[in-house]
Amino acid sequence: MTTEEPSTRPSGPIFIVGAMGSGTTLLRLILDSHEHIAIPQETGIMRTVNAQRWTPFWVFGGRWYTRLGMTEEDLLDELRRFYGRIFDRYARSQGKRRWGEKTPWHVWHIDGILSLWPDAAVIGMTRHPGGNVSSLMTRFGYKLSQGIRHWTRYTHELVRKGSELGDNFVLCRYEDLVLHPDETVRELLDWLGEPWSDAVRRHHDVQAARGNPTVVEGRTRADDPIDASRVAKWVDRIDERGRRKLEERTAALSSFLGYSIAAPTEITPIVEEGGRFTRMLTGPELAKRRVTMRDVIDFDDRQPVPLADRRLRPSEIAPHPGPYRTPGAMARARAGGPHISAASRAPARSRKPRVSRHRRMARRALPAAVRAPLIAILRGLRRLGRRMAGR
Amino acid sequence: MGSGTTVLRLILDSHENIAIAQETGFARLLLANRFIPFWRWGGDWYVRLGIDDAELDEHLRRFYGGLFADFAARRGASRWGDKTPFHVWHMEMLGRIWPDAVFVGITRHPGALASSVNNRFHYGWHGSVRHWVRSNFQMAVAGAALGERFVLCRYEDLITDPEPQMRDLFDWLGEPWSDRVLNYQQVQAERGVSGVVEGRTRVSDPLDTSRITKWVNDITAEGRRELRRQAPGLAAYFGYDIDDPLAIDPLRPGAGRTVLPDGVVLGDRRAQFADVVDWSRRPQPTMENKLMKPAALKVLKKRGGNGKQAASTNGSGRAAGTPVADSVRARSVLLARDLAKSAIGRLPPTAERRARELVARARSKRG
Repeated sequence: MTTEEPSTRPSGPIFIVGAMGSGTTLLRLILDSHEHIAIPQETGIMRTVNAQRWTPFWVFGGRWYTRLGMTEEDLLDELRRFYGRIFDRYARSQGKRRWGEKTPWHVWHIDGILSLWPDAAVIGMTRHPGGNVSSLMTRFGYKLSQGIRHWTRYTHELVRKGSELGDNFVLCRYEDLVLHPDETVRELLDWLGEPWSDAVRRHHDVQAARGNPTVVEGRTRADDPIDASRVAKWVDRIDERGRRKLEERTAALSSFLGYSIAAPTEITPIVEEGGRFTRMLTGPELAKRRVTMRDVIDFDDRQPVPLADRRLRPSEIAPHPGPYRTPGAMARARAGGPHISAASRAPARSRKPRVSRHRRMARRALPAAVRAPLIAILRGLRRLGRRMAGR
Repeated sequence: MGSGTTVLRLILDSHENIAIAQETGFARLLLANRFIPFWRWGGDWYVRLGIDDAELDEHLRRFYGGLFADFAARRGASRWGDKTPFHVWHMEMLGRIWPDAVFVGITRHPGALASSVNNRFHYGWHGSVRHWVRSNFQMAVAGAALGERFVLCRYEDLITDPEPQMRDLFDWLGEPWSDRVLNYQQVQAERGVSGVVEGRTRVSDPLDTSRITKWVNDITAEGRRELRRQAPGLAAYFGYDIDDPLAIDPLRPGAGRTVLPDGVVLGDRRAQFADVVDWSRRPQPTMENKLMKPAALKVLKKRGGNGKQAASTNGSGRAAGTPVADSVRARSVLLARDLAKSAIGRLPPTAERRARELVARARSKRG
């Protein structure tokens, strides 16, 4: 019961997931600096993989592969080979032998990842909600409450799924990575079955020397060294009221992860002593913690999965014209910068379909008792107009 | 949909060398590979892996081509095909990814198609005729762009005189003639395919000439009206008379009805009908067939009930006498907004701009 001997080392591809702003990019840059590991910028590939399971927005899209005589396992095999090869080729082009992927919202696709790559190593990142939310606010223009919601949803799902993955999963805290980089990275590499390399310690030099872009996804600078002061920087950025809000909404989940809102620099260890690792929580240990802390926080309820990350079944979700109103897009709109909706307006749509679309929307929104007479009236008006135009 | 694609598939699929599965809709899977669905940075994921557009096409060609080729090989056929009605929106992409692909289009009298679609799906007459116009417009334009790689069949020709049509088609495809294709019901039955396949087509139904005229009895006055309003120009382009199902003009003057027109012929033919069809008003693909770019497309959760219920406007819903007071008020706002929008849309350009500014100002004041 004390120490689990690692039965299997996850030897497959590496997936880094976690809330945006929790340090996933920093970890990517560190691991990508290793001689054996290649992790490109975010690709978001799992949504495409997900779309292959159900021909998007088509009633009969669910079992398209059976019509080609394939079973679901066949399809998964084919998909694994296809996408695996693309990433493999990338790794080889970098002179590496193992590939990884990092996209924060792959949190919602952990099942999909494991069904394609049962030997995948999934690394979940978490960060103190204060630091994480403050990062979302300054970099992506989130409002405080939007940031809190993002952190809660992602982290809750991360713990919920991660605790079910066993040896395929570790939970790594941003603070451990920043305050004890050598120890944490050494343990991560050990878990991944990769030898220690000095390159990971100098990831900022390695990335700069490779001629990779200096500002990468999420506005992280690839040539920044690890900066321990980031851990508590947020305290100046979020005022007293904001901190009360944080306390109110994230206290349980924070304490599960060893964070305290009132004392942001006190990071309580969450790993039991005597285990194989001291700086990160393996899947089985996480499962144990989930059970022991059940009265503090219950992970059985699932956070709502974003619509775009579900199967694209037309019976449940429908495509709709118009830009996505994500917090980031709304912030860009507020800032008046080149925001999304302007781009969507660019291809001028002809006037007629636009009118009929609104008509259709209104028709759907009305109760039947009102709809029928109104439609009759509108139709009469239109006929009248046409007749008058004809004379 | 409803133009006889399934019958044509069953016929082609009965040939020894050809295997065409039931609809897969796989072009939308290709779209999802082009653009990670609904993600702002989804457009160039492959560029970040050092892959360019041409290379991605190559990857996709090999992967999806492989799946279909395996299917054909298991069947003992050397050539694979796919039949999906909505791929009419993806002909350009499919033609680019498979430079050696050929396309067979099939069209049918708009009245017959609208009647068939209206019967089987819940489009209503307006929607059914609109479906015909949009799909066939798109097919005419995209087919012409493909030139010699596209050929057009007409359902009516196929039904009345299958053999010469089929001989010409297989000749064009470069496949030897096989007697099996005319006995496709038997071939499919031997394969264990029987009963109803996609689109409620019955495999065992013979090619029946009554299907050409049957719609005349099925269509309502509303259907007629929609036909005359939306379809006559494009129908004439395809050689149909909007009222008379049997008056069918040849598409290749002088060559008779058995020689199938290819994209070049169709392209040339466009000029003759420029006064009845406005070829510049190319229809936009339906939302389901667009790249899933979050700048122009989002997803919404469907509120309870399925399409069928929403489509039936009269009937039980009305008799129930449910209390509607609150919802009526909320929805009336929607309706008012809708009416205002459509009114603004009809204003002359300067007035429209001014009205939109006013709306925007009012909205920003409200916060």
